[in-house]
This record gives sequence, C-alpha cells and structure tokens, in this order.
Amino acid sequence: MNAVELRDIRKTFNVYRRTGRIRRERVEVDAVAGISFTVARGEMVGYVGPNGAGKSTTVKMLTGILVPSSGFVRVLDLEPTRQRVELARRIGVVFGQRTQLWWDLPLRDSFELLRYIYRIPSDVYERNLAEFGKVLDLETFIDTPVRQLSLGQRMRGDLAAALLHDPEILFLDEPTIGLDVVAKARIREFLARLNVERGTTVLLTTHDMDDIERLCKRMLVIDHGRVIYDGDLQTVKARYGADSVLVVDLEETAPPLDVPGATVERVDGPRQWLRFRREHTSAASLLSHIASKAAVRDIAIQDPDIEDVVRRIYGSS
Amino acid sequence: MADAAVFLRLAGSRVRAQFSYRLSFLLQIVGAFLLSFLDFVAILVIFLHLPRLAHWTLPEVAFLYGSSYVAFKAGDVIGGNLDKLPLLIRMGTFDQVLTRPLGTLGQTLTVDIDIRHVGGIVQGLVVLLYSISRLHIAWDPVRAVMFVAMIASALVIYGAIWVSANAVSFWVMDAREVANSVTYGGNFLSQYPMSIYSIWMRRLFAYVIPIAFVSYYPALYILGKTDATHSPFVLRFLSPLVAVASVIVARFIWRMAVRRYRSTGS
Repeated sequence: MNAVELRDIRKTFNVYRRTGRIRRERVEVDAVAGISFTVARGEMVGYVGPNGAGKSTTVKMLTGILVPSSGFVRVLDLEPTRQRVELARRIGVVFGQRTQLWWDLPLRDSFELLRYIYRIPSDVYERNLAEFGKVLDLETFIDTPVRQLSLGQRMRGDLAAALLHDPEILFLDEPTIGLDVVAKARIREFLARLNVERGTTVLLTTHDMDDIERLCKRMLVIDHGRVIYDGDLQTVKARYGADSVLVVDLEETAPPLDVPGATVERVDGPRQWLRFRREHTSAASLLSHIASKAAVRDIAIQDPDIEDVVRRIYGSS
Repeated sequence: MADAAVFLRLAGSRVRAQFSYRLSFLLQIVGAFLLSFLDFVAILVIFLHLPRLAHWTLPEVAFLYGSSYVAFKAGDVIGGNLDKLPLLIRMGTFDQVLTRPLGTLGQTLTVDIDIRHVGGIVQGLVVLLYSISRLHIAWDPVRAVMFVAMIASALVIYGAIWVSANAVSFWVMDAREVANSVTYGGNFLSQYPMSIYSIWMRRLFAYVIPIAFVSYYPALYILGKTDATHSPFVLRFLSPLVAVASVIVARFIWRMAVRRYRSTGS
C-alpha cells in the first residue's frame, strides 16, 4: 500500500496585482501545476526545490490544510481534506518556521494537551515521552515555557510533539531551517533512526542538499510547481554533474593550475576556482597535487546547492 | 462527545494562563462590570425623559436588556475570541488548527477564553434581578420553562451569530468591524422593544439576523404584553427552534469558509 499518492494535483491561487493607483487585476498563479508521484510505506523521501517552487503547498495539500484545485490525492488511502480528522490522527506534521506548541506553556504541558487531543493511550505516551526525552535530550528544558526556548530546542520539542501519537507518516517542512550545524546533525540523526527503527514514512521538504544527502535515498525535485526529477541522489549527481568548487588562495599569482580531475574555472590574482566532481576526485588528492605545484595559503570548498542542481536539470532537458 | 472533554481541557489551560496574573485579572473583571453599566445608563437616560417607550416601562425594557445581556456576555467569553480569527488566518496559524484531529470551530473557540466578560454577565444579572423584582410576572410552570429556554436560546443564537459573522474573515481579510457591527450591534438593538423599529428592520431582525428571538418575542409572553407589531402569536414560542436553525446555518457557513482558507507562503 502506498503511503502517499498524488495524481495530477494542481493548486491555483488568485493573486491581485496592482496596475494603477486603485485598479488591480486578478492573476491566476499555479503554485502547483500538475504533480504526480507516490511514496511507498517506510520510504524516506526528500522533496526539494528552490523557494517558491511549490513544496509547502504540496505538503499542505497532503496534510489537509489546503484544498487542491484539481487532481487526486490520497494519504494512507484517505482524502486529506474530506477525511481530515481521521488522517490527522495517523500523521505527524512539523513546520520548521512555525511551532505547533503552546507559546505560553512549558513543553511538558504542551505534550500533556496533545496527549488528550490525540487520545494517546497512557502506556504509549509514557514510552514515547521517555524515549524522545532521551534521544532528543529534552530533559533540560522540558519545564521551560516554549517562548523561552532556543530555535534548536523548540525544533526538538516540535519533533517530539509531532511523534507522540506514533504517526505512520511524518511530514517535515524545512525542519533544519535556521539551525546551526550541531543542531542540524542531531535532528538528522534522530530522523534517520526513526525511519529505521519504527518504519515511519518520512516526507521532508528542504532546500538544504545536506539534509537529502544524509537522509534520503530518493529525492523529488520540484520547480515552478512541477516535478522535474524523481530518483536517487547518486543518479542526479552522476547525470547532472553537481560539481563542487575548490577555491585556493596561493602565496603568489600563478598561471591556471593544471591538476588532473579538475578544471580551472576562474582566476583572480592569487585566487583560483577549480571545478571538480567529488565522485571522481577527492578534495585531498586535488590539494596534494596543487601543493606540489604552488604554495597554498588558504582553501575553501563550495558544494553544489539545490539551485545548481535545478539549473543543471533544466540545462540537460 | 469525547471531543467536548478535550475542548474543556484546552479552555481550562487558557483560563489558568490568565489566572497567573491575578491582580490584572481581577481588575479586568471589575472594569468590565463597571463599563458594561454604561450600556444600561443609555436606557436610563431615555426613561428620564419618557415614562414609557412604545408602551414599555423601564422594568420591562430592563427585562429585555438583562436577559439579552447575560446571554450575550456568556457567549462573549467564548465567541468573543473569534475576533482573533483574522490574525490566525493572516499569520497562517490556522494551519495548526487543521493538522489536529479535532473540529476546527471548537479549536478556534478555545484558542483563547476571555474570562473578564464574567463582569458583564454579573451586570446583566443585576439588571435582570432588578426588573423581575419590580415586575409582577404571573409566574407559572410554562413561564418558568420559557424563561430558562429564552436565556439558553439567546446564548445559542448569539453563538451562531458570532460564528457566522466572523467566518467572513475567510473571504475578506480583517472584516472584524463588519463582524462586530453584527454581533455587538445586534446585542444593542435587541435590548429595545422591536416595536420602536421600522417594518423592514423588524423583518431583518426576525428572519435574517434573528435577534428578535433573543428576548423580545419570548418576553412578550412571559410579561403578558400585547405586541404592537402584530406578529403571529406563535413566534413567542419559537426561540428554541430558531436557535437550532441558526446553529445549522452557522455550521454550514463555517464549513464553506474553512474550505476557502489559503494559508500563507511557507
């Protein structure tokens, strides 16, 4: 059975554009312009795309928040807006930008209210609270009002809150946005574990390629409301050449370096940009080649971001 | 009805949050009590100049006012929070309401509970008790039942008006003033005998925004008054039915409205 099934889903918004002092015209904008895909149970799928691509709108249609303009949606064989309450019991939703918790209550009280809202049996509740408390390290701030939590703490609290009722699917909208490296790593580790140990299906929107790399075998790339790629990350990288760039600062100006596995893209005084593929050449071997030819003062590596990947997918089609 | 227990718990958590600021909480209740007397002062001023208003004496009008006001303020404790709806919609926080396995209306109503309106309820009760002590109502079982049914129906009718009027926010951003003119305005107009209004206003209040059923029609029977507007006699007993119909209409409007929700960009 599929966890999620979408067929030719569309969402059109009316946007009013000012054309004069008072006059305005109505423009129909397709936030989602005919999307089809399925997600099997137990899968962990990354849903990526640049800002405004339609990621959040899709998630909102899957969770019963928005009514699709047309098309077919089923989540756990339920129609999200029509069977919203039934579906809500079986899914968990986390929006990175917004909290589900009660702003003026301690985290523990929010959990307690959710326990009643979702009618969680007390043994399940106790077990989950104990486990998430430990894995997400909530103990130190569980009695603090939510408004006083840091973003990372709040995010951990939100994750636990969305999972207390043992949802079959977890929808995450930008769960790592604004978090520092340590906090991101912690959230990713938790999600990977959840997927393996509990078999929870996870659909995650992000524009952080690292999220996908660490978590998802499969990724869906969406842009301008359409799916432009559906497959695994390795294939994307192999086929669309997501190049990394090594930026080296040399001690003195030099002609473009001739290094196997990399091409010099740009030279600016002593600074050079070398484009390479991580699958073919490691940064370390590049560096040792460079060091044998010139004195290196400093280096930096720029990894491809989702905008690069999207651009390349377009370029090839 | 297990949901009702959950809503009570949600409401309880909101009330407790207000109790934590005890002094300001008390001041607000006292303030609401005093402020709401100004509404009644308007009526007193009229009776300083007139012995009767369209054949209604001061205690009789006070009876209309008190019964309507008690129900309205009781509804305000819960329904008054609907004026936060535009904010929920504009900020996209209504998303959260939709991701929980509970009815959207119940959740919206329990987003906050405004206990200070208790001051207004007390004021309405004071006026109501004054009027009953001055009137010589021929109490019998029918009148007693009608009295209770009148207050209960009024509460439900006001609730339905709160919901229907505020649901407009889903279509028009920040239609709060429109909604308030129907809710607060409706309560204000229901405090006077319907016979002082023109014919088209009476029709509006009887059949569209049914505030004539809040107190005027049942009060005609309880007080044994003749109706200067010559309305059908049966209307005096219809408040509970009107209340049920209002709820059905309000539910329908609310459901349509929620489908219009468009959330905000991520």
